[in-house]
Amino acid sequence: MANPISQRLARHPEAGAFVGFIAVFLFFAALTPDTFLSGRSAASVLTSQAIPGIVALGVALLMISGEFDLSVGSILGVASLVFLELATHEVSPLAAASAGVAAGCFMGLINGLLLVWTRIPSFIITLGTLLVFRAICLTAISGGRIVRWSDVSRTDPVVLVPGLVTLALCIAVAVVLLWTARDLGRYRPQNRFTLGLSRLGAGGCLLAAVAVLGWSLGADIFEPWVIDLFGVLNGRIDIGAAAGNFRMSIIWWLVLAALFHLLLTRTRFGNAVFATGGHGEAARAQGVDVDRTRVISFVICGGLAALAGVLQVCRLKSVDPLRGEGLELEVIAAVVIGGTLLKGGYGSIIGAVVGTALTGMLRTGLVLSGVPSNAFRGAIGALVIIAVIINTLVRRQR
Amino acid sequence: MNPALKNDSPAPLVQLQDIDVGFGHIRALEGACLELHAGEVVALLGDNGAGKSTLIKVLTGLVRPQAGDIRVNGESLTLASPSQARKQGIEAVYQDLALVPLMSIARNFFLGRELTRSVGPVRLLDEEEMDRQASRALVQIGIQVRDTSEPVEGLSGGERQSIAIGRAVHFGSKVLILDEPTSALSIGETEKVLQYVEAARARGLGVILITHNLDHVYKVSDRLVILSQGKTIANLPVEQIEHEEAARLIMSGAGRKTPSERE
Ligand SMILES: Nc1ncnc2c1ncn2[C@@H]1O[C@H](COP(=O)(O)OP(=O)(O)O)[C@@H](O)[C@H]1O
Ligand SMILES: [Mg+2]
Repeated sequence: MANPISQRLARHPEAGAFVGFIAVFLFFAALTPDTFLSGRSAASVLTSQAIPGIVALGVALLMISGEFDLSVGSILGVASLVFLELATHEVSPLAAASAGVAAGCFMGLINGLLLVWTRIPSFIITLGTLLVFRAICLTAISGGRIVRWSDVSRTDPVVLVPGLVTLALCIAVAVVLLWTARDLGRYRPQNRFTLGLSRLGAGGCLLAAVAVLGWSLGADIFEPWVIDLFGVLNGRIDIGAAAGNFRMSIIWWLVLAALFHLLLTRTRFGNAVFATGGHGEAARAQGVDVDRTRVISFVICGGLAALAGVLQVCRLKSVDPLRGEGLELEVIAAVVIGGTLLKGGYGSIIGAVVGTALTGMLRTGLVLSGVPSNAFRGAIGALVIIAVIINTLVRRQR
Repeated sequence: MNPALKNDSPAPLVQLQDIDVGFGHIRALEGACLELHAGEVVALLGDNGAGKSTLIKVLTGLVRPQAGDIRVNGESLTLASPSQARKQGIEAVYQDLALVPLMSIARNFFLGRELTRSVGPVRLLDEEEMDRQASRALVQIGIQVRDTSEPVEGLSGGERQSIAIGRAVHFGSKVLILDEPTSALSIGETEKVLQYVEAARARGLGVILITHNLDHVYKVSDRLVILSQGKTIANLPVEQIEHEEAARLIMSGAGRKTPSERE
């Protein structure tokens, strides 16, 4: 029998990635302390990883359900294209962004339906759709053309929300927050930690509700609320000039990670995802609708890849036909490094976040220590193999 | 109880008639029949590959038959999915589909019917309640587990089997199906399973027991049904057939149909 600490570690798929993260961090901190240990390099890691990080959330969920999606890079490309094409053709930017995400969900739906209708392994299906979806980009923007926002406007698009709508939205959000705070406050679990956490959550919701209401009362209801869409989705966060290039996409990445962590570990759907990937037939025998779970997981994966594409467009403000190419392997590597089992049934969203951050840190660290940037791919490859070995060893502990 | 009387009652709990199932060009069932009454234990017997597991999967909605009639409480149904069968109070312990190894005992116990609590607009799993109820239910049935939040992976085959049986016994309200439940169990555990079967019958459930052990059959069942190559070749009260003859029928496959045909 192993000792309790290593056993407890073994119950957390992301444990190995955490250890690896700290090890790699310490390594580069010792090697190039001046450049690596700076806000600038932290910002560069997080900003560059937020986009693949959001894609990795969906890929992790899907991999836990026992399936693969090789087409995420192409989905990201098509969604970026849909968003920017519509936005540059006088569609309201919010509607264009929604259409981009919807397109991603639809492509995920196609992947999922092909899987449950044909029973061909998803590896093969999405290898096919990877090429098909890429062809959409390549034919829609042919001849080396690049779609640019700057071709239609010098200024970033704004979304105008009428004052009354803003007020209604604020009240709705506040009601939901108060409702959540009430339920969390009433929860009386035996476990001290869970109890503390729900009390904390209740307090947080209460504060947030007060803040939202206060803000809406302070606003003039006859003035529209002006949202700088590119800025909100992926603008720079100003925290002092020296701090480096922190962007909004980091916030969205972490918020989405928290939401999907909850979805996966604390809801019936999440339980169905684990069961479907762990032993699909046994899950089906217990009344779990495994095919529905698979299709929904594909839709989520496509939707997240598309959302990542939309966020990326908000920063780059252009789309080229090869946008997102090669992303799938980088993301799958990050998810596997994060402790998710390739065959499904085991893994975590937190692991996917740590894995993505780890690969980004490795890249930045190598660049800063003067290693040719092309060596980065080899380093990632080695890391995947080491990570799988470590994760397998850790899992044996239990 | 007199089985002959029960066979006269108008609506059996479950009635499977002329069930055909094929997998590709394999004919797993060809006109198989099975009847089960409340408060009755039916032993479903037959050689390996006779179609026993397939027949009970038809009853639990896991396998869609190509032909045949399924009646529950006299009402004709198409069981399109396992959740439909579960809503009818039919629970099974499968030979090959017991638990999800990487999930905890409690999560396996409540798989497909997780307990939730509402938090604002969403429903979250009530893990603590599931842990509590699962360990209480298992202890009540006499199954000791250390910690229901532990993954199933680390348990022995017998422990897993016990948990799967405990789950079916706990949730089964009308029909309890056990497909070779004692194959991984010790003598003591096997005794316990036979006791669950008798307790379920006493509570008025219908029980289908698939086993290769004829001693168990004669100990607990009221009637036996023998399948051979996808066909029902015998359906008799245990009193009407000797141990040796039953064994011969199971092995030879050549046999009599029903008591009425025999007379
Ligand atoms: N999912 C399946 N796919 C193909 N053949 C199957 C499947 N399930 C059962 N069979 C075949 O159907 C026949 C009956 O199997 P089964 O019902 O498991 O028999 P038993 O439980 O009586 O041993 C066997 O020939 C078996 O190989
Ligand atoms: Mg069988």
